[in-house]
Amino acid sequence: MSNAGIPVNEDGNKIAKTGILAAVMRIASMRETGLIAIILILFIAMSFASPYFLTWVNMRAMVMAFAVEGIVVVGMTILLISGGIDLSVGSVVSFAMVLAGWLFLSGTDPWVASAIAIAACACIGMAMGFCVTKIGLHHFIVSLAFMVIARGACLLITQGRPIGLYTLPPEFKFIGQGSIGPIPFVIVIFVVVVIAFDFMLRRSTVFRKVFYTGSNEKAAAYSGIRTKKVIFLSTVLCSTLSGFAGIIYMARFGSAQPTFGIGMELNVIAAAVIGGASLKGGSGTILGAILGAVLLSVVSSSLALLDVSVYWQDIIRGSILLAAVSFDHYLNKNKA
Amino acid sequence: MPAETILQISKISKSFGAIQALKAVDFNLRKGEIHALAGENGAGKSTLMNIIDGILQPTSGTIHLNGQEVKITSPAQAQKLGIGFVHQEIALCPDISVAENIFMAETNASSARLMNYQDLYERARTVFAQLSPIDPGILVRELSISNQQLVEIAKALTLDCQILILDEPTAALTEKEAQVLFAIMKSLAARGISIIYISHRMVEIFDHCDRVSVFRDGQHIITSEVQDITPDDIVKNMVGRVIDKLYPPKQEQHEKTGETLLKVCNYTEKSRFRNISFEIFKGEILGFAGLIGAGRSEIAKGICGLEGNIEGELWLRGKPVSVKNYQDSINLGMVYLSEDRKGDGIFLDLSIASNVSALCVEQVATRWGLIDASREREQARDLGDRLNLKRGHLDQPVSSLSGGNQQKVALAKMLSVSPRVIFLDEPTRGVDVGAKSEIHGILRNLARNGVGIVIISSELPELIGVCDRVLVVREGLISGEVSGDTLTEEHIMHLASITGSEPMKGHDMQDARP
Amino acid sequence: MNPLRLNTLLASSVVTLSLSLAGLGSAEAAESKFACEPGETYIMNVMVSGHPYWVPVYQGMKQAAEAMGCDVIFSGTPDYDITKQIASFEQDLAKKPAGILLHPMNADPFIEPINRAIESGTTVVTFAADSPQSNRVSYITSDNLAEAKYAAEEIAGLLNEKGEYAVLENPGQSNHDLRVTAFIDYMEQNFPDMKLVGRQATNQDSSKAYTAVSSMIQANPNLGAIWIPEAGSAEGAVAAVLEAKADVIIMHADVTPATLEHIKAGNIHKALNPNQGMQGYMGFVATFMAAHPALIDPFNDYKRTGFNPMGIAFIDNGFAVITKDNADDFELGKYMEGR
Repeated sequence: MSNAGIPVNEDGNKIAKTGILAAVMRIASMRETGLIAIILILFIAMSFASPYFLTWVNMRAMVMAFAVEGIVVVGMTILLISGGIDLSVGSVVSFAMVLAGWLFLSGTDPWVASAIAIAACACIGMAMGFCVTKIGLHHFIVSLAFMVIARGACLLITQGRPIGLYTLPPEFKFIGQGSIGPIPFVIVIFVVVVIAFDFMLRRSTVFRKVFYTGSNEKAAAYSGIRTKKVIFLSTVLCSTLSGFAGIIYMARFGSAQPTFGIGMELNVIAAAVIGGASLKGGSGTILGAILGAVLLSVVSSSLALLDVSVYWQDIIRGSILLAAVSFDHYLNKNKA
Repeated sequence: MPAETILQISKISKSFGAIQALKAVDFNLRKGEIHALAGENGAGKSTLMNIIDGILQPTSGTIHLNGQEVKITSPAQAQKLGIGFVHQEIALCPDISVAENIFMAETNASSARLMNYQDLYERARTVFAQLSPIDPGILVRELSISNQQLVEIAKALTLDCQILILDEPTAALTEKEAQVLFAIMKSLAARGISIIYISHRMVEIFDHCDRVSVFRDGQHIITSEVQDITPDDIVKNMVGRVIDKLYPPKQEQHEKTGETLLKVCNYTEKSRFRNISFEIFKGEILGFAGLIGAGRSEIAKGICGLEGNIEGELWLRGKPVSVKNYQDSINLGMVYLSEDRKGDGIFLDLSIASNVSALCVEQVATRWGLIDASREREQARDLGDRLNLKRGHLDQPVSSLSGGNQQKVALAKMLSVSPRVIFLDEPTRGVDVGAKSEIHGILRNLARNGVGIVIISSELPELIGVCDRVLVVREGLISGEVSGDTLTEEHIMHLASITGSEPMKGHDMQDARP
Repeated sequence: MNPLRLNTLLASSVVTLSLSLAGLGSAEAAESKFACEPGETYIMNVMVSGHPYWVPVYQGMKQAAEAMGCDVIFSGTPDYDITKQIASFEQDLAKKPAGILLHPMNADPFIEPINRAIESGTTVVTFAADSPQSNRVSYITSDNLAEAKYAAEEIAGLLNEKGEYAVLENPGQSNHDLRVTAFIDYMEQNFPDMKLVGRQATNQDSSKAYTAVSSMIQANPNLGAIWIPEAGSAEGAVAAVLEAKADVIIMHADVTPATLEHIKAGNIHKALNPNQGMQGYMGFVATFMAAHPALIDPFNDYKRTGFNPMGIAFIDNGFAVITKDNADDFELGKYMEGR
C-alpha cells in the first residue's frame, strides 16, 4: 500500500535500487500499472478488430455499465481491506430503490424518500456491524443472512412487482439520465466518488486504520486502534454506498425492481479482487478495484462486439478472474 | 565418544538468485551426539537444515548418509531416510486431538478406511510417558504454547529417526520443561540417535551439547568439542568481531534517582492476578520473571488497558490516572510491546513506514487528517537510524526484514509516541546475538534518558544481565523482588517455582558475561 | 388427445401485410424496395441469451432477413440482469444498426435507452415483452388473454367445471403476469365452482416450483390442476406431482426440451407455445418496416403527429397447442438440424 508519491532516495539502502530507476521499477510492479497495460492492449487490439469499439456510443455504454456498480465496488473494497466481506450489496441496492420508490409513490418528496432509503441502508449496515463486532459472528454468514432478509423486504414492499416511477420529477431523474455536456451525470458522480475515496484511502488517517485493522487485527488493537469500531464503520460505509447506488439506479431506470442486483455481489467482489484487494484483508486500492471493473466491462464489451457466442462469454469472464488472481499469487510468492 | 560419522555434508552451496546463502559448507554429524548449531539469523543454519530435510535442493555439493551418497528431494523422503525436523514455528492442527496430530503423516499414508482411535491414543500415551503427562485425546487448541511445542517434539519422536533436528525448541518452554526436554535428548542420544540442536542460548549449548558448529554469512566457521571452546569464542565466531560486552553496563549508584515514574497499587484481576503493587523508578530497568502462565504478561497488559477487568490504583509521576483502554494508556505514554511479534506486534504486509507510525498515525498527518507521506517516512527513518535498523526501502513490507530488524521496527513503533514507560514482553525472542545486544543497549540508553523500562523475559540470563531489579511473579502474585547480589538464577527460580524445594540445579551461569 | 390445433389468431392487418410482402418479395427482389441496402444490419437483443426460447425466434428472423438481403446479429446478455442487458443494447447501437428487435427484461428501465436509440436513428420493435411507455414502434407477441382463456376452458372442461386449481407466478414480467391474472379472472367469471387454492411466485425457478407445488399438494389433497405461465417452473412442478403420485393436471405456457418430454410421457397435459418462428419472422418484418417509414403513406394523421406510419401497437403472432400427438414437431434439436 501507500504507493502514492515518488519514493525518495534512501540512504543506507542495500536491497532496493536507488533514484529514478527504483521509482520506475516500483511503479512498474504496481498492480494498477499491470491492469492499465492489459486494458490498453485490449483497447488497441479491439480498435483494430472492430470499427465500432472506439466510438463514443460504445465508450459511453461501457462506462455506464459499471459506473453505478463502481460506487458499490468502492464500499466493498474498503470493507475487504478491513478484513470483512458483504454479500448483501445487491439486495441492499434493490432495497434502497424499492423503499425510496414506494415512499415516493406514497406521496413523499423524492429527495426526502431517497435520504430515508439511504439511512435505512446504513441501518442494515449497522445491524450487520453489530452482529459481527458485538456478537462475534463472521461477516460472510451475517451478510448472507442480510442478503436474504433485504431481498425479502424488497419483495414484501412491492408484493413481488416492479414499481413504475416514470412520474419522478425531471430534476430527480437528472441524477440518472441527465448529462453535463456530453458526459452523463452518472459518470460525473462515479468519478467524483472514486477520486474522493481513492485519495482518502491513500492519505487519511481514518482509512489508514482500516488497513491496520485488516492487515493484522490483533496488532492493530495492540497499537491502540479500536478495531471493532473500524470494522463496524467499514460495514456501515459499504451498505450506505450501496444504498446511494440504489438511488442512482432508481433515477436512471425510472423504476424499482425487487429482483434487481441479484448476483451483483459476485461482480463487485471479482472487480475488487482483480484490482488487488485481498480477501484476507489489509491490501487493496480503489483505483485498482475500479480498473478491475473496467477490465471486466471492456472484456464483456469486446466479446459482444466480436460476436463471440454468448455461451462462451461467462467462461471467458470466469477464466479472467482466475488468471488475475493466480497471477497475483504467483507474483507474491516470488517476492517472498 | 564414538567417532562413527552418520551424516557427511561436503561443499554444499545454495544460491537464491544473486544471493549466495551457503558457500561450500562442510558439516559432519556423529552417531549419538548432540551437535549444537550456532549463528546469527541469516547465517545459513536454516538453509542448511532445510537442505538436510529435503525442503530445499543444494546448488552444488554432496550429502552422504551412513557412507552412501543420497539426494534428499522432499521432507517425505527425508523421513524415509530417518531424518526428523522439529520446526521452531508450531505447525499443528488446532481442532483435532493431540494423538491425531502426532500420527497425522501415518494416518495419511495408511490405507485403512476407519480410524482406530483407541490404538492412536494408546501409542500417543506411550510417547508422552517419556515427555510429560499430556492427554492424547485433548484438542491441540486447548494446550498452552509450551505443551504444543512438546507435541511437535513427540511427533518427531514417533518417527523412527536416526537424525533429529530441533530448531530452538526451548524458546517457548519454561525452565522446567526445558530440563525435561534435555533429559529426553540425552536418552535419545544414548540410544544412538544423532541430534542437531539449533539454539541462541549459550547455557544450553554448554550444558547439554557434545559439539558445536558456528556459521556466519553462509559459511562454516568452526566446529569444536564443547569442552575445548568458550562462550566468548563462539560469540566472536558468530558475529565476526569481539562483542566485548554481551550486556550493557547496569545503572550506576549515582544514577539512582529514587524518583517514582509509575506506581501500581493493589492491582487485581479476578482470574489472572491479585494485589499487584510495585513502583518503577526513573532511570532503571525493571524485570518481570516467572514461569510461563504465571501472569507476567497479563499484569503488563492489564496496566496498559489491553485486557482484563482491573481493580486497583495507578499513579503516573505522582498523579492518579485511570486507564480504560489502550488508547488512554498510549495518551499517558505507557506502551506495551507484545511477545508474539508476528501475531500482534507488527503488520507484516504493510510498509516499514506505516508500521512505525501505527501507534499514533495522527502525528504524521496534517490537521485535516491527511497523512503526510514524507513526514511518515522521515519518522521511520529517524527512529530506524536511532535503532540501527538494517532495512531496504521504507515502503517495503516489514516481512522483508530479518527477525531482529522486525523487532526493531516494533520497538520504533513504541518510540514513535515518545513513551514514558515501555513494557517489553520477550523483547529478544527469536533475535540473534548481535541484534540482541544492540536492543539491550538501546533499552539501557532509553532508561538513562528517563524512560521507564519493564522487561518480561523467560530467559533468566537476559533478566540478570540487563535488569537492575527483578520482580518474580508466581501464580498471579508477586512472590519476591531480587536486585544486586540476590539477582541470581537460583533466587529467581526459587521464587518462581517455590514449593519449598531447592533452587533448580544445572544452571552454572556459563553464560557469556565476562 | 386433441389433434393439432394451430391457433392462428393473427391480427388482420398483419395478414394483409405479409401477403403483400410475399407477392413482392419473391419475383422482384432485385428492384424491390422491400430489401436492404448492402450492410444494412438488424439486431435481436435478449436477456438470458442461452435460453432455448430464442432459438426458433432468431431462426424466423434470419429467414425473413435472408429473403430480403439483410444482415442480422443475435445479441444480448447471458445474465438475468437489467444493467447488463441495457449495456449490451447500448453497445449494439455502436454498430449503427437500422433496427433492433428487443426483448426488454423490464419495461421502465428501457424507456430512456429505447428513446435515445430512436433519436440516434435506430428503430426499435419489442417482442414477447414490452416497454409500453417508450417510443418503440411496434410490439409483437402472442395474445396472452387468448392463451389464458384457452387454458381455463381446457382445465374447467377436464374437471367438469368443478374442483380446485392453483397457479404459479413470475411477478414482474408482463406477459407472464397477464397469463395468470387473465386465467383467474376468466375462471371466476365463467366457472364459479372452480376454486383457486394456491398462488405462489416461483420466478421461472424449477427448484422453487418443486418446493411450492410439493407443499400445495400436501395442503390441498383435492387439487385438480395447475396453470403455469412459463416452462421453467413447470419442470419443477411436474417433478413434485410425479413424486407425490398425485392426480393433478399440469398446463403451462412456452416449452422447453424437458417439458416436451413430459408432454410425450403424458405427465404434462398440454403446453401453449407462442408461435416463435412467426414472432421472429414478423418481428423482423415489423422492424424493417419501421426503419423504412417512407414506404407507406397511410390514411391517418401520422404527418401531423409525427408517429411512425409503420407503427402497429400490437401484433399477434399466435400460439400453438402442444400435445402428446404433435410433440415431435416441437423438437428443437430436430428443427435445428442442418441450419
